[in-house]
Amino acid sequence: MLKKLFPVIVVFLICSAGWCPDSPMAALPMQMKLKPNHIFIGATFNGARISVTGNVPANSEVLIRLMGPFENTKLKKKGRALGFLWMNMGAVEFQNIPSVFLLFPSNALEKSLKNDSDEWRKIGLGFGALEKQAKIIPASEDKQKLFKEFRKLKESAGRYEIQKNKVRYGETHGSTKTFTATMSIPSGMPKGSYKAQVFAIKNGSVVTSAEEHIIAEETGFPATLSFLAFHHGTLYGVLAVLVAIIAGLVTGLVFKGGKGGH
Amino acid sequence: MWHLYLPIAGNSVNVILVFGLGLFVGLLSGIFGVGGGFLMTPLLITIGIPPTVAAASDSNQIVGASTSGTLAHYRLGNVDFKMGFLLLVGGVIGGTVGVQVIKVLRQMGNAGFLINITYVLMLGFVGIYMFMESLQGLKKETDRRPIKKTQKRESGYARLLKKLPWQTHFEKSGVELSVLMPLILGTFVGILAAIMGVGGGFIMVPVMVYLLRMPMHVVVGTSLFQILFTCINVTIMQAHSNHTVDFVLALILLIGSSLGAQFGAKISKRLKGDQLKIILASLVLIVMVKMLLGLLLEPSVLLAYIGGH
Repeated sequence: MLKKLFPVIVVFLICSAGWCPDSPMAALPMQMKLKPNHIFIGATFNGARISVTGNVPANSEVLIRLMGPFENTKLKKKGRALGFLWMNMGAVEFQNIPSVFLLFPSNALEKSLKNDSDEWRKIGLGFGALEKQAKIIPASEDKQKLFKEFRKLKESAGRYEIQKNKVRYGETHGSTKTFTATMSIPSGMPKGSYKAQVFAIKNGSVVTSAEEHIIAEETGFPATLSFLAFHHGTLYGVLAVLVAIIAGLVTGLVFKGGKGGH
Repeated sequence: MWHLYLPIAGNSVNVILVFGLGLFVGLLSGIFGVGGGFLMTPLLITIGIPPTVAAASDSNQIVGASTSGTLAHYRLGNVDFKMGFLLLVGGVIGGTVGVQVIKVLRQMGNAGFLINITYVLMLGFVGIYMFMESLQGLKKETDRRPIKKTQKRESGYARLLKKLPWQTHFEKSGVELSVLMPLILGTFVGILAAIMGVGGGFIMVPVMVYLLRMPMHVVVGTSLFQILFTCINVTIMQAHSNHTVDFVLALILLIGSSLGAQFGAKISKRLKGDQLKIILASLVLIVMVKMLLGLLLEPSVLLAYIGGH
């Protein structure tokens, strides 16, 4: 009898211990909508603003995360030579790391997220979690120190950032409340596919989440120029030189004309 | 508003700011006959351009600025085409040798260390020598003493110059020299420029003034002529091999810099040779101090993108 019931008991125990994390999440109401979800990088592109709206459980807090495209980045490492000179001391590579990593926490979450508390490391959503999953080559390097420097470098370009005061809550309808947020995306965002995720967080754990994709692609003149530069490099170089020479000559002639030349 | 997206740099920039940057660096280029890469590349990196794109696009814009500058100086009678051509041939040979030298240095390790130290020492030496020499020249002028060609210059070096074969007259520069001199010195500058990853204007100008004994105004014009061809070569090579030339960036910069170069040539005409030299020497020393501080002070971020000067 006990033998027959054993598999049933095991399944029950595993599920109650949280082995099926998706099932309680799926049960909770959650919606998200992005506008726009396609970014066209044209000649006058100067960053984008994407609005995120949706519903989350009324007693939870919202964290929005935008990340992508994943890439390998090789960087020069500065170190001391002869004890007093700061020089390039070899290179390190960060593998499969998001080029952009932006976090938009609700005001209630912002402080603890900024301090990168243990709670966030446990949830696996903040910069601490990103550091944990980052792979650095050579592996012998001091990962914590290097990631800190990597984050500084990314932050200086606005690609890694915690943006405050972006999430606003609206009306509560029964067990859910509405939220809106405007994500400011830097102009230096690489083209590619991004993942926008909304997490509803309660008592230090994610109760439900949703995600959508954003595609950023070049269009018009930038797209033509990129195509030429990457597929017909030599021609592109020759044209660039010719235009530069013509511009230089024209400027020269205009100046001569301006002086009534001879 | 006033922003344009740079497809190769992958970022957008303020057009007015970049135009202003071009105007300023073009002005320096027109006055002193230097490409200005030492200044432009770091400034571009500061406004968010990746280092490799900054250096390559700068070469492209220098093509425009030096065309404009060469034309302006040509009208003033300041371009010695014969000398420029010989230096250029030397430069191409030197550049090719330099690329091989840097490979060997990299294999030996410590290449970066050697390059930085050599650069700082050389800029320091050239800057101080040029500064002192032009200061003396200016003092003599204000003392209203007759300017004598110092006799000590008739040294071993001068005698060696006269002994070399294939002596020829360089009309614009007003010097009698062996064809070998500009060829050898051009090669030397080409090697150094390739190793250091810079255009070489900073080294070429003092070489022309002190080793080829050319008048400062002709040096400026001829240096620009030579830089023009060097940068045409670099732009095409970079576009072909690394795809790092951002044409939009270069275009905004070069509209500014070719205008700046015209004003620069006019300012250059009004300044005396020694005045030009002393200002350039000060610039060289400022760059040297900046590089030295970069070596001595702990950087704010211990990682950097690969590329650039």
